[in-house]
Amino acid sequence: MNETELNGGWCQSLYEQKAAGLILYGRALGLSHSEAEDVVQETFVALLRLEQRPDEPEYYCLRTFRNRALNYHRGLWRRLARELESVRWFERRTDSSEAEAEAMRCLANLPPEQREVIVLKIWHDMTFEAIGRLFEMSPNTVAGRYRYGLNKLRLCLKGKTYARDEPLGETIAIMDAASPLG
Amino acid sequence: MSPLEKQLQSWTPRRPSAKIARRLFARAAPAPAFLRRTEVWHWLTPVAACVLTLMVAVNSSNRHLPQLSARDNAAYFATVMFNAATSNVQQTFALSKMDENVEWNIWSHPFPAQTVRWSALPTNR
Repeated sequence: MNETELNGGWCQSLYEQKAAGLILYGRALGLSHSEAEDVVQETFVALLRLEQRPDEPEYYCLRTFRNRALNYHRGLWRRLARELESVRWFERRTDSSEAEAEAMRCLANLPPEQREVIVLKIWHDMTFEAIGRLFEMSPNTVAGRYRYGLNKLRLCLKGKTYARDEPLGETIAIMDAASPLG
Repeated sequence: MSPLEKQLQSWTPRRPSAKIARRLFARAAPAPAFLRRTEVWHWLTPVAACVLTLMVAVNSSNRHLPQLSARDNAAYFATVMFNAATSNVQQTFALSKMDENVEWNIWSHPFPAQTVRWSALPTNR
């Protein structure tokens, strides 16, 4: 029995559980959808070749994915395809609204380090400690990035609403009233 | 958890295409259980070898030489030269005296000077 057959079982269940979240994480790291797919595939090929199951498969998978995504070298064709590719980050829903599309756009416009933390916290259900361990930094710093990013997201959404419905002065007042960032 | 976080969490991340999972986890279809049993090969291999030998033997005995047309001398000679050792045609082949006299066969008469006289060209005589 080779390594691929040995690891097939747990890898497949991990894939079913994490693949969509990893694609989103790849998008948060600046990859296009198809680039994120490539990195997911590379990651699972590496997992399938492991001689034994890691102690924490989810953490190991996420760390491998992150390293590969950050080192991903984009070819010319990929750069061109990326420009033409759909910007959709989430599955289509019947009740998709304009606000949702706007929220996605705001999320995409956040600084990468904040976007990364928000994706890991919300869609990967990771604690600040676990994210801090992944980034090799303090959980407080991670929590700060999260709160800062989430506030920006909230303001972006509110700003859009007020920009459409209210005078500019009120928008500025709301932004000024945002909670302190930490 | 704030309403914004709940709202964000309610969105399902876009799934990767199905071909990724197929590439990663699709395995080649295993051989039928019948063929996976090792004891089957203990008798299947010699039987297959015997059948193959029998087929070769039967095929050899039924093989005929290619038919040679009587008029096609080039093919006839080529066949004899190509496989002279095993050909049974050689036994029936012998050069006749007529064949040995190649010059006689080709030019029944030496090029005659009189031929000029038989041409259609007008002469002064």
